[in-house]
Amino acid sequence: MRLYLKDINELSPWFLGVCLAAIICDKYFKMQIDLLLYLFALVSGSIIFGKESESKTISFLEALPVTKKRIWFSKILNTLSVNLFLVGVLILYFLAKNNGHNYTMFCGKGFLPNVSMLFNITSFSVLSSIIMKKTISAIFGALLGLFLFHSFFGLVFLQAQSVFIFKGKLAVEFISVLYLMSAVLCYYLSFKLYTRRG
Amino acid sequence: MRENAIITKDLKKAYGKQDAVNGLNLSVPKGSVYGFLGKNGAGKTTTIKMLLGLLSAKSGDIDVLGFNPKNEKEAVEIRKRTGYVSENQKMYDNMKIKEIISFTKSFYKTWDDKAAAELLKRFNLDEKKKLSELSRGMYAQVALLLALAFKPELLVLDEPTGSLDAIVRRDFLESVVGMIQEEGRTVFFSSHQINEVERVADWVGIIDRGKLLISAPIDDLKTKTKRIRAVYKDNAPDVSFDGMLCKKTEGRELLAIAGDFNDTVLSGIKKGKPENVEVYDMNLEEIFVAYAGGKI
Repeated sequence: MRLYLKDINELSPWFLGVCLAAIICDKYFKMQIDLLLYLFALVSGSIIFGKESESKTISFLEALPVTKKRIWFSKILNTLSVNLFLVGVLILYFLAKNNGHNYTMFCGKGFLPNVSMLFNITSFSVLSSIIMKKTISAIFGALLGLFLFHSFFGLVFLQAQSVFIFKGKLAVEFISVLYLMSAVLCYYLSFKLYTRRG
Repeated sequence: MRENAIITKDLKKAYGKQDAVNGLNLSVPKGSVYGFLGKNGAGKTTTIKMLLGLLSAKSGDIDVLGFNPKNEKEAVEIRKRTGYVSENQKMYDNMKIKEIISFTKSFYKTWDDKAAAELLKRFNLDEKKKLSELSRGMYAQVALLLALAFKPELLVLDEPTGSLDAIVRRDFLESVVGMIQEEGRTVFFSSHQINEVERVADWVGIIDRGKLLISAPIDDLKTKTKRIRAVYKDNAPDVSFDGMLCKKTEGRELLAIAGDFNDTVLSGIKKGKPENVEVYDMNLEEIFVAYAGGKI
């Protein structure tokens, strides 16, 4: 519990900052809020292990009488709750703007792909923060990973469309499921990598 | 009742092809202050991390307070009973002292608030100060406070004074020694600052290239290890005896260090009929150099 609260405490200024930026961007620059939420998901996932490794406080944490599994679970619980919070913000935003809002992000329209993409981005950045061990490297690592993943997936998707397998709404749902599956895979890999003892 | 707080048998650990610990056999008696000496890169920190279950061993057996740190659950049991202060330990600098105390406290059922308050007073620390505002000495004292306030059975200090200046180092060690004498705990203390080990420890172990060269009570080690200087009429003969750590001959003079000095060694030297034989006591630093460096 203390681990969870400590990390939430660290993430909350970021979250407030992003919320503020979202409001300002939406009001004055007509920028899409979902873009900012993705950005926060990326940063929050990168901070969760990256910042501790960077400042070497992770050694202090791991020397406490707690297993690495518990540290991992508490941190992942953190990213998941942050994601759920972001989903809440998305819902509120969509409800407030229920007037034909256009989603700019990859994979078209709808709530489901946006939510699944949030989880997808965070899981990528969590994995990246465990491998890179530095926040800024983790952000760039996750961006690169996401770029490669989406490029590959885009190609597969286009190929599938060209042979008329996927059409319309079904395609969006298929994409969402794949996003979530890749998120689960990233979390699993991050667990394996973090909990192994050198 | 267990006699040893720590036992390792043929403990090995490698980083890639590089052996960090290579067949370490260590026994740390309960209630002792054990100085674990070694050059930089000798394998001290790796050994300590394996003892606490923070690193996995390649092979060998480890027993710390009756638990095996290879098993993750047992490693947690060890850490529940062991206070650990590492070199340049980094904690959460954005926290105040009282916050880091409260955070650490939540992990230990045996945490003693009274002991923590006493330590704060003893170290003259202001609990409202942030860790980032503390000097290195105070920072190390906070780390020591966190390691002691839950009344550990074993205290493991890995180069705890490495980054401190001489005065702060002395204060820090005096605090440690004071508390040890009060409580009678086992302390496992790694350092390459030999004089501080000599002042604090009652047992000493010397590690080099991952192997334990000697482990003995510090007084025994000083009694047994002697420097011998013999001057011969002609050129000094090539002498060898059991337990010889190193030797040097220069013309008529022979200098040798005996790791187990006794009458047999002396009579062996005297066989060459030297004109003069002198036997000198050695301090811990000289003993360490003889064992780890093979130099007189």
